[in-house]
Amino acid sequence: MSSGLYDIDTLVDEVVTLPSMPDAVARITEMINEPDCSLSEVGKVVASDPSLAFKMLRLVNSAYYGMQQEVTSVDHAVVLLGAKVIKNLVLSATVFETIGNGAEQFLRHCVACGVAMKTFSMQGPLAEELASPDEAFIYGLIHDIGKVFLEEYMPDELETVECLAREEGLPYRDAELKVIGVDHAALGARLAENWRLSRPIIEAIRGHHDLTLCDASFRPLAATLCIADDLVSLCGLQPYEGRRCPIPEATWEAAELTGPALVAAVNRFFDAYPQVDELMHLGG
Amino acid sequence: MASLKVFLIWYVLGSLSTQVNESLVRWRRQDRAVTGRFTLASGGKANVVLVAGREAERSAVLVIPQPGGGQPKTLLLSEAHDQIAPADLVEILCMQERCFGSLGLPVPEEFAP
Repeated sequence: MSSGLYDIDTLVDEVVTLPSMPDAVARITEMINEPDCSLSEVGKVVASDPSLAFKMLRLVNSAYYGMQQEVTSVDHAVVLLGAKVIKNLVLSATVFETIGNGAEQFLRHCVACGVAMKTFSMQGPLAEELASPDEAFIYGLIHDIGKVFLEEYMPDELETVECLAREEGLPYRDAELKVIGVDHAALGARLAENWRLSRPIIEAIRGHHDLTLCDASFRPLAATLCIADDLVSLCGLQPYEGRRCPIPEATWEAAELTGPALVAAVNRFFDAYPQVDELMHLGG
Repeated sequence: MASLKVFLIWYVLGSLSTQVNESLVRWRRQDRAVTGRFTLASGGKANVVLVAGREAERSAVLVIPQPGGGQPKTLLLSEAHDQIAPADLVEILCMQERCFGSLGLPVPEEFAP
């Protein structure tokens, strides 16, 4: 067990070993950015990782994607959905793989947050910022991924964090900063950097509990992620104990989610909630 | 409507109840209803009375006490979205879904049947 307060660099140098992105996912991400990206080559790379291909096909055949016909092969999926959607699918499958071995409540929180982000992305600033609702889903699914590695490498410290949050009535993140010196958002953002995910994802993860920590141009995204996180927790799907973190007025304004627009977004999330149950099966 | 009025008067007078303190809204179970006390965006106090799921008309009512103890003003929640701070509004909608909705969201322990 280690002790004392860390900064993010010391934490990842000395305590936490962040995994590298699976080769197939890294290769697909590179290929998508190439101007002459070949769909059949993308299909071959996905198929070269059977576990990834299996998860991707389960995801694409879930009610979440609402396909009219069953997709039975990777080649079929690639042709039907296109390379960019496939990239989002394999990334989602990878994140499911990473967070799926934890507590069911944690996975449910992340999946529900993904569905909330997807529904929020149908209006407001996110509709312009994000390429697709599938991309928005990834923001929610991945936002707390740093906690997976804090649990793996610092279980004793996290127990102290939980005690502190419970006994002193602190928001969980405040307790993390007090005990470890680094919160799960900073660690998750570092993982996203190592995986060479897009800058908006990295910044939104980093800023989802404190907008001032991310670049101003990404604050609407981080604000929306913060609100999705809060909404899901208020639905009784908290990922951890601790007092509700008050959300500053500026966050609601940055996300353009107030009054009737907010109610419409929350109702869309409730309507989409049954997708959460189906997506939960992909985590195991 | 008459029964709703009787309930609202009973609510304003107050009664013994269970209370949850881990939120911005102070929630109580009162018989079959769940009620919450919070501060309006304008700064005044208000109570929200939840009696059914979001699909039902008149499932959520806002009760705003009047200065001097006059008859409280009542509004449907759907008519008052702009008067409620976003953090409270989300909490109210979620509590309604948890207590009366059909999604199977966890009911707060304190309010479980």
